[in-house]
Amino acid sequence: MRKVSVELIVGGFVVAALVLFAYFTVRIGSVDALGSGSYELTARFADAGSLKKGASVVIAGVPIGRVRQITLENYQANVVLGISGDVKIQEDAIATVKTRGLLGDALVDISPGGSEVHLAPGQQIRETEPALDLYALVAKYIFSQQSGGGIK
Amino acid sequence: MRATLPVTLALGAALAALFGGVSRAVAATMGPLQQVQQSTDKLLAILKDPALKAPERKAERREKICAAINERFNFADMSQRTLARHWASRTPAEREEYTQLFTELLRRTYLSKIEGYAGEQVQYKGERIEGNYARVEVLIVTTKNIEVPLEYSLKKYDSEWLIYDVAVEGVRLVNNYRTQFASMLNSMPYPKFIEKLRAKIAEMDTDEAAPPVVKGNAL
Repeated sequence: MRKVSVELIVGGFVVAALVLFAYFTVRIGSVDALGSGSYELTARFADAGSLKKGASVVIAGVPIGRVRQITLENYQANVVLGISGDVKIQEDAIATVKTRGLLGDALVDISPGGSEVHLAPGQQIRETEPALDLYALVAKYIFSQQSGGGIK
Repeated sequence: MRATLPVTLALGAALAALFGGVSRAVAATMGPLQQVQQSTDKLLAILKDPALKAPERKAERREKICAAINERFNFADMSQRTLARHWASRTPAEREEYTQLFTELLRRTYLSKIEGYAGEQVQYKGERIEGNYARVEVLIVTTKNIEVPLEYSLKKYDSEWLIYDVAVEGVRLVNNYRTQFASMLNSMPYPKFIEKLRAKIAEMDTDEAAPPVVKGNAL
């Protein structure tokens, strides 16, 4: 009798842990899995940087969706964004790949536009800015400074 | 700041359509890259024209450059895009006023850079057309052999492709101003923002009247 109850308690803990694990996996992995009413937009970037599936999509720093898919299309990164249904994106909005902090994760930042036309599900955010390659830029301008001074 | 020269040249590129002997009808059959190229060639012709470099013809040269830029760039569209969501709540008169001020701001920011053209080369890398929108990629090569990639965003109006944004090294002019203005408008009412814009333009006019002794290269 006593033996059975210990096993039951242990089993109960395991089940509870599994349920919690599953819950947090879904919760952290994708907002969409719990909330319905989102829609998809695409955006094409010349360079997606370190952007990954599941990365945040933000407006003014507030998460409004997640990156659902990144594929190569015509030698550009075609990114599918899942956007919360209650957030409308104007057709002249600009999507930028940014990094939070120096070592932070990449995310897609959307700056709202001024157009009265909103993008319908499946449409493309036409205006994008690629991830900035800081190393390449710094190298380029350090090098150009040096060569500029040296050639003379 | 690194962006100023290329943006300048980019603006310059737009110039051609106005001054060229080529009629609008001919331009109609040209793609966005060709139209940008034609504009650029004509702008460069004005910039290189030794006769126009005479100090007494400075105003005339400037006028020609401005007129050309106005033709190729769609400043109304750029204005709407920079004011972004604040555009919707403005009256037509306020929109008109803002468009005028923003155009003046751009002109004062980039015109002197265009006028300081020092032999940069322009290479055309390609165009992508999607319906009424297009991208034209250009590479500016400075006299120091620095390559600066530019990308024009254009929209088609009838047969004419007009520029509404320029990206330098991937950084967009419109988004740059949009972010600045949005943060200003978050902290001050619209009339105060317009006042600041006017003050900035007036300040640039003063600088223009008394140019700095050393004129540095934009890059």
